[in-house]
Amino acid sequence: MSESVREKIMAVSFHGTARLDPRIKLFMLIVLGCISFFINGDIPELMLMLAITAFACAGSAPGWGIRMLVVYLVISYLNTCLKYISVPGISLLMGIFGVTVLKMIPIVTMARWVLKSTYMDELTVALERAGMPRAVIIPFVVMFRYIPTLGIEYRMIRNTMKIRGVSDTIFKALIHPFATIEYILIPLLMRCLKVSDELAASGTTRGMERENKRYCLSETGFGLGEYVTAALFVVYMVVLVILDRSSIGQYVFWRQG
Amino acid sequence: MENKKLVGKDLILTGALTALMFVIYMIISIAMSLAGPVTNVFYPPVVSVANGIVMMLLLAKVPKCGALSIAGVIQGLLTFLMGAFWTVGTGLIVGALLADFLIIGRREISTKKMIAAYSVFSGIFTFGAISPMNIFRDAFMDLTLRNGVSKEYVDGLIRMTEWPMLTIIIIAGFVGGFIGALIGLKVLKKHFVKAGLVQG
Repeated sequence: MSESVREKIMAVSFHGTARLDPRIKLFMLIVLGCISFFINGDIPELMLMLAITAFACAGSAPGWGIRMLVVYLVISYLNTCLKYISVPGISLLMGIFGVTVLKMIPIVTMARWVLKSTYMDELTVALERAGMPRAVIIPFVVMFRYIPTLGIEYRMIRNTMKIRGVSDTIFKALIHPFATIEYILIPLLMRCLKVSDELAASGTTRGMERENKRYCLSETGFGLGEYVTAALFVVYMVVLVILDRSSIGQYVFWRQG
Repeated sequence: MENKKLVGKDLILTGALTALMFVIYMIISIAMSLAGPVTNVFYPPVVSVANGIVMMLLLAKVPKCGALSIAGVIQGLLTFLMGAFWTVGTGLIVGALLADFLIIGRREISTKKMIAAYSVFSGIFTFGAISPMNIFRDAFMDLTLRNGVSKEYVDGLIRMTEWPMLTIIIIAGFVGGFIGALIGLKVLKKHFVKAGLVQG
């Protein structure tokens, strides 16, 4: 009887690479962000994206990984089309848009995977072990926890606007910035205050204010898996950068006639 | 005597509002960079005006030294992650720390100090974001070209950041911060004080 209760408590909803120490995941995310903007060749970029998809799939988020890979391939194809077929007005606009979006996709994929696959208490413990002061950990963790909530609040506000018959298209929102501020930003801010008051109360209940060392239920720490992943990752990044500088990086992926 | 240390409640509010500020920053910077090189160089002042409200709310709820620094430092670190040029994040971090420690300091906070601090922060951020197009021109343009941006866009950027225009942009940064702070305070008074969420 006690075994099954223990199992239920210790059960986590994801496995595989998602169980790595959060510091490793954050480190990979940061290095990824830097490298992604330095790699320009088509082939290294694709290798980067494939590696990230493989990682996400191994970390119990296969649907997300594969969807982003498909989006990446589609946008990469469209970008190459744009380079060869030059439509005067749209080219300039979509050119930089396409490039920015393409660079963002690996980062966004990895970031969302890290967010979804990390429990907040593991993250707090890991950051604390990394020696960061409390004044940095708490805003950081709250930010990660709050960004999905922002999306939910925004949708609710838009629904309310629809009910009340206020202008609710994105186009109108951009054209009338003051209306946007008045109707969207201010309710968002009020909800934000409410949410953070509740978060603060919940955090105090959980003993956030104490200065002692923290523990969490599942094991986090640097083990063999972490070292191996870190080493492989660094090697892979170095390989990508070298490839990018060499001639393989110049190869354009989709050949247009 | 008011407690001057940052309590857990303050840190949580800082985190939440920083998240909102960063999302606004990303949306505005992407939207303005799409529209062409002319609007691209003016995105920092617009971001400052929009984030003015959020920042004024933060300073009103957490009137302590440290709130502005944490918000600025976290946003700066996140811009490093997003792959912007290294001066953007550095400008944010340096601007936040300077504005906080020099202007807000350890004494009582007042609305004038809030406006001044935010203007300084915004000005330094604008300098960090746009001046590499002039000062480190070769490295910046090289990086942008290699990323696949079209040549006309880069030429447009170079034209927009010649020296006279650059000073205008930096001044616009300070002015944008000033306007953002003023709008923020007005909105605070009109909505939040009336609702009782912030003391007058």
